[in-house]
Order: sequence, then structure tokens, then C-alpha cells
Amino acid sequence: MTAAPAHAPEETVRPDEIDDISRPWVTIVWNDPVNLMNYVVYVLQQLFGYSKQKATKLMLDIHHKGRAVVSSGTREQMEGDVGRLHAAGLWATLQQDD
Amino acid sequence: MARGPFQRHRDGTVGVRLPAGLRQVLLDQMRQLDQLLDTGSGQEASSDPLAELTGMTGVTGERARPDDPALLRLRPDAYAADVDGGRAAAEFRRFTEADLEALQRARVSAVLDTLAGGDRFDLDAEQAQAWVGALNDLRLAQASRLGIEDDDALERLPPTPALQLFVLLGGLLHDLLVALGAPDEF
Repeated sequence: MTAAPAHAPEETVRPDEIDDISRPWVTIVWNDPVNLMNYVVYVLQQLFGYSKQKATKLMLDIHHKGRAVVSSGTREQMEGDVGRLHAAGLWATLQQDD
Repeated sequence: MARGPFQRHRDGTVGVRLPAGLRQVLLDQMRQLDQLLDTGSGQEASSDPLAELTGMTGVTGERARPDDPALLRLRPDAYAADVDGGRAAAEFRRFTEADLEALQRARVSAVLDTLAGGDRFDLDAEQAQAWVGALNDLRLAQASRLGIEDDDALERLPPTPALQLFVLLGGLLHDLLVALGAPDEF
């Protein structure tokens, strides 16, 4: 008889670590202390066609929570969105949704 | 209510009346911004293996991540540093940064052109967008130089002329945005 192993062998790959192509990509805008509140609303309306209400809610999320997801889609689409946000001076990154 | 420096006309153009002295300040600031934006042009990554092998730059279009924090804020990474070991951000930069630089410099150039006409002039829609973009870029660059890194920095930092100019240009951008239909307050 052998003693049971102290730890169960670790799984080498967990299902949630597999690059899941069905998980969408998202564009995140990060808070910064420079961009004016009305400028962020203006940019979100111009670039994404969001209503003033939706753009204002996103701006307040960015301001209070430090970040907000402003769009989602394919990686290529999100690269386009991040590029347009950078052109507007907003601090944006893209990543695969958690 | 006093008339602000920007008035939107019925045809969609925006009339500008700059306060005395502001035109020269804007000319100086925009020229400095253009110099900052220009430091990125043609910058090659020293680690570009093809460039090292051939002794030629510009072979692969590789672009180095800016060392200057102000320039990095104007051309930030599109991916977090841990995505694909940083390669994702570098690839994005390689394919997009030249266009971003051209856009940023074109906006400054458009602002300088309009300022050549004196204290009073009209902006068409495209020129107004150039003003918005260039003023915002200018504020981002100034904030980096001033060390404005959090929301309380304006109250904490000493009221130097550079900080006062930063605040003044923020007011100018705010007024222009309101003239273009952006919300006035929240």
C-alpha cells in the first residue's frame, strides 16, 4: 500500500484557460485625470453613435470605477475601436472578455 | 451671459473670437506640440533584427514604444503588457502608429493654419474637429509634463503659469465642445 499523494495531480490545462474563440473581445476605456467629462461623452457619442444617456453612463463608470467596457466584438473590430479612441486621446486597450 | 470665444452659426460653422494674447500662446503651444509629435516619426526599434542585419532602417516598419511619457500617453499601448509577452502591443503599434502620428500632426497643422488669420475666424466642421483633437492632445502632453496623475492633482500642485495655462486651455476646449453640442455639465 502506498500513501495517497499529498496533492491531487494538477490538471495541466483547465478548460477556462483554453483560448475560447467564442469569448468576445472587449474595448476598455481607462480613467485619466485629464480628459474632460463632456469630452469623453462627446467622443463616445461620435465614435459609437451612443445616446447621450448611454455615453454619460459609460463616462461616469470610467470616472468612478476606473474603467468601463465601451464595445465588444471580434478582435479586429476592437483593434479598430481602440485605434479610433487613441486618435481621440482616450486611454483604451482591448482584451478577450473574462 | 457673456459670449464665449466660440459661437456656432446656423450653417454649422463655429465663429472664434480669441481673447487678447491667446492667439500667440496657442501658436507657441501648438508648435511645441508639433515638435513633440515629430519626435516619433521614423523612429526605429533598435531590436529590429532585419534592420540590424541589413543596416537599413524602415525595412519592416517596426516602431519603438515611445520613451517620453507625454508621447506614450498620446500613443498608448493597445494591449496590456502581459498579452502575448508584449508582442500584441508592439504589432498594433507597428501597423497603426504611423497613421496616428500623421493624423495628430495634421490636426496641429490645421489649427496653426486657422490661427494665421488673426484673433477672429470661422471653423468649418473639419477644422473644428482638428481644434478639438489638437487641444486635447495638447492638454494630455501638458498634463504629463506637469505630473497630473490623479484627480486631486490640480488642487495639490503649485499654481505655476504652466498649470494655469493647462486649466485655461481646459476651459477653452470645454467651451468649444459645448458650441459643438456636447453637454455643458453633469
